[in-house]
Amino acid sequence: MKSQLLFALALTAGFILPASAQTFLTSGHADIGIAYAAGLFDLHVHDGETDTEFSPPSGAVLVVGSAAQTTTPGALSALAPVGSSLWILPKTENPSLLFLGFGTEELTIADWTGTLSLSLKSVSGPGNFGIYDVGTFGDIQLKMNSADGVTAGDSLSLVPGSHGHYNLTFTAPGDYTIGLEASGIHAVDGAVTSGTVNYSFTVVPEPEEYAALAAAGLLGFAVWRRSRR
Amino acid sequence: MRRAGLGRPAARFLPMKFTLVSLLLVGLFTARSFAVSLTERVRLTIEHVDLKVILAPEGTNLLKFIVLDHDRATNYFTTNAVLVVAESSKLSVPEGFPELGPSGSDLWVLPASQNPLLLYLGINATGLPLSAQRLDLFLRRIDGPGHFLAWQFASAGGLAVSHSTRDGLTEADRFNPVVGGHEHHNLGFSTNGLFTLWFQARATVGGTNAWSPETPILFAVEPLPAIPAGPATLVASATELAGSLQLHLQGTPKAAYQVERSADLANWEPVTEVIASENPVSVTVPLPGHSTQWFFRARRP
Repeated sequence: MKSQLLFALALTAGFILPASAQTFLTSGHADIGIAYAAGLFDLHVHDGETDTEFSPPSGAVLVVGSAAQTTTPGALSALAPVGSSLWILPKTENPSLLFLGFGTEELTIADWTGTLSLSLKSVSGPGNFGIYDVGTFGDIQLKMNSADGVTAGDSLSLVPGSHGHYNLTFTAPGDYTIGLEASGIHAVDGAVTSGTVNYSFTVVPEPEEYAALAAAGLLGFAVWRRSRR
Repeated sequence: MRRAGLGRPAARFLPMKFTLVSLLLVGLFTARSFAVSLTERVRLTIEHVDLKVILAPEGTNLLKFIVLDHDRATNYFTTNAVLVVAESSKLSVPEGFPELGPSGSDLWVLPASQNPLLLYLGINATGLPLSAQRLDLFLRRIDGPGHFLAWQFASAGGLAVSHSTRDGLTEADRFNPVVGGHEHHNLGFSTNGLFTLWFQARATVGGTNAWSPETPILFAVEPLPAIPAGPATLVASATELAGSLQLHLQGTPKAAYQVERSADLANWEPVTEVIASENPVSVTVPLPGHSTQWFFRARRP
């Protein structure tokens, strides 16, 4: 019985027990970074706080803290049903949250024709993933949205040698693996692409949701035990 | 005796032997003390540039603004750069944004999101120690033909205007970036022309207040209005060429000037027309032999 109880608690605590051999980035400035050398793209995570680079990027888990949770407004109805929970890593810095950017500073603008494209290739997780910008007069500009399927239109246009921020969205708590691919036209190497590179995110629910999940887990265990007798 | 002169009513007469070395020394001495002219400033047009606050000298509680050009990894004194707001940035304020201006009115906007065809201007607080607190960048004064605004939209679209000179300048007109952070705002100008925005930074560093002087930042919102050509300066070379004299003219860039000569300061005759394509521009003028003295001046035609 003791082992069964522990097992139920472990299931419930699955959202908060960290995986091993990964660094969790919860706040401060970090980038989804794009470098290029010897004919190959290098997509990585750069932790601006410790100046640490994670390549492959799966060595870092990008945490979307509970402070990111909000209720989907009408303006973002394409990302999630209005009134439903939505987690937003904002493009403007919130000291309570990870300030995640897209960095191409390691690239030299003269080496590229036009802009780079960072495309969404896959989403694995309990909800949908999106990226949007807010225009000069508040217009919502959707860049990526897995809610309507992952298509060729799910992409960011990035200026080489620069750095920018966008709003990232998740529609449910839990662990996500987001597949991204960089492509561009190099002045010497021509059209190049990185292939799909996976980024790990974990979306943390608000504390009230922790309690609800724990209660649900214990209730489920109790029901299971009763059915066994 | 030949003399070099300048046209009236802007006429000024300079001695023949003009000590350029002393002028050069004076120029060097003042270069860091005073703003350089518009044409001598570095034009920043489409780069990723930040207005950055640093402690200078290090270890003091004095704050200073610099202009950081990320693309060239170069820092400029604020007096050595002009931030260009291209004409292509001009938009019309849509309905529903009275804070930004009357509906349909013009607004030149440097956007918070990068447009490769426009200057991408940010506010940078990475130059301060992370122990610093409460950094504010106040807009203290604006000199220019119109208004300045700065705003952001929250993730769900709520408008937050951080600066607006439309309702006058108060302590509320400020950026307050996260120390160690970097941010972008939409920056708007209500008309074209030259704008000087005077910013002052304040933070708590090591438990004490740290301040910067009020620092002018120059914006050129294009197209710039045509500036009437001003008077020119004529300087004669110390060395005469056979039967001619070399003059150096400094005037308004691209303006045309008529160089005239006189033997008696009463009767003037045209010699040649000069375009101030560079400053100074050299012009060789003949010295007719029927007079032992010649006076020269440069006038707008």
